[in-house]
Amino acid sequence: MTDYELYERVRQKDKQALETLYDRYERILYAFLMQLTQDRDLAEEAMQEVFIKLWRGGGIYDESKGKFRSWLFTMGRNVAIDLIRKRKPDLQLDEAYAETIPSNEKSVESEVEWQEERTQIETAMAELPTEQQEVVRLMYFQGLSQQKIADACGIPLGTVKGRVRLALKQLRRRLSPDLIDKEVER
Amino acid sequence: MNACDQLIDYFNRHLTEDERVQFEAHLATCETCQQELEQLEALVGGVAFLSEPAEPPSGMKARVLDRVFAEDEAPKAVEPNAIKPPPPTPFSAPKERRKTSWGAFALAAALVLSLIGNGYLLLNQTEPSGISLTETVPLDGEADGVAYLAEQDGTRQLIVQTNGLTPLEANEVYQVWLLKDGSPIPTGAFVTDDKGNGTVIYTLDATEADMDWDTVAVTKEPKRGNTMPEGDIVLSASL
Repeated sequence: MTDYELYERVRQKDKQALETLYDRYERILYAFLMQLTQDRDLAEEAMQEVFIKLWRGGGIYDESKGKFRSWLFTMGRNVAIDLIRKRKPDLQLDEAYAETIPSNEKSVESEVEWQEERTQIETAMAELPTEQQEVVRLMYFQGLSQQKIADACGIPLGTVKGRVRLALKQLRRRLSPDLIDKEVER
Repeated sequence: MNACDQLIDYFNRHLTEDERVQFEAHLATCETCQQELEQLEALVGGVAFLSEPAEPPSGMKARVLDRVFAEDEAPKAVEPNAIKPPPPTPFSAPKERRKTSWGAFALAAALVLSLIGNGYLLLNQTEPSGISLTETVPLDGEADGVAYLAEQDGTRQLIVQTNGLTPLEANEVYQVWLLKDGSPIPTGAFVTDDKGNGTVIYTLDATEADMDWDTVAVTKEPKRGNTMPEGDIVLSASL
């Protein structure tokens, strides 16, 4: 069953459908939330909040706007960012992140789920010029303000948006539409 | 700095609540920002896979799903499905407001002007860019205000803008309501800046969009999240 079909059933209060979505995304969503929060409790709390929102129908997924996965992860990211700023107002996302600069080590062997997606995005990222990789990480994982991105990259404030735009464009060109764009027919 | 330049800070949730509301007002009318936001969000579905693998804690699934489904068994407060809670306000307001940056108020004012500009353009353009204003209603009461009904991709939005409302106390909010035969539903809350400027955008769900609302009103509520008005009406108009 596609994500969208499951989502539609969740809207009709089908518990089984929610559980299936949970199983489908537990590992990757949890990993993403851990990456953002660097805190197991916060990551689980964020997980909790995401699925409560999904069940309650907070926020509406519109199939024409993109992939369900992107919508779900965006919701998780927003929840995580808000939790961090509420619980640890002194901690910047970037500080949490700095402690665990992502290694380029290969994923552990048991991590076979989503391997194709992982490989694809890792390869695409690796092909970007360093400054574009940097801006992608500053944007998505550290969630920096525009001013801080400017400071971190040593560029004027007014050019941040352009650099982000360029990086996204380069990244999109290297990713198959199936990874980020609208659901494909199956 | 124009409104479009706030997109990144909006996406990364650095805007204060006031700024966020203002930006969302801009977003509703700016196709470029809508597209760029869509692209930013689409890529979340890709970059998330760059995360270091992490083993989910044991028992997390049971804890999460139990809590989710427990919601259903808990006695419901008031809300039948037709009534939507006001949009979530993730930031604790007082704390965030202290963080309001130097130009925020001026910026907010500028954004309101820019939105009014956009509204004007929308009203005057023959080829609507996905969004079209269906009704513009001046509000009567103790300050200036306008309600717009807009339509975008088949969904209806209620946009309310104010100017010159009296300042709010600590937890108070201005709450917008749509009424039919005297019974209200909450359609978004907002706080004002030092000039009494405020904006709120509310997307009506399918049921709400079909209703023949007769009145729009703004009340001053002692707290956020009221499903029935407690405070007095400060602005209102017939639709």
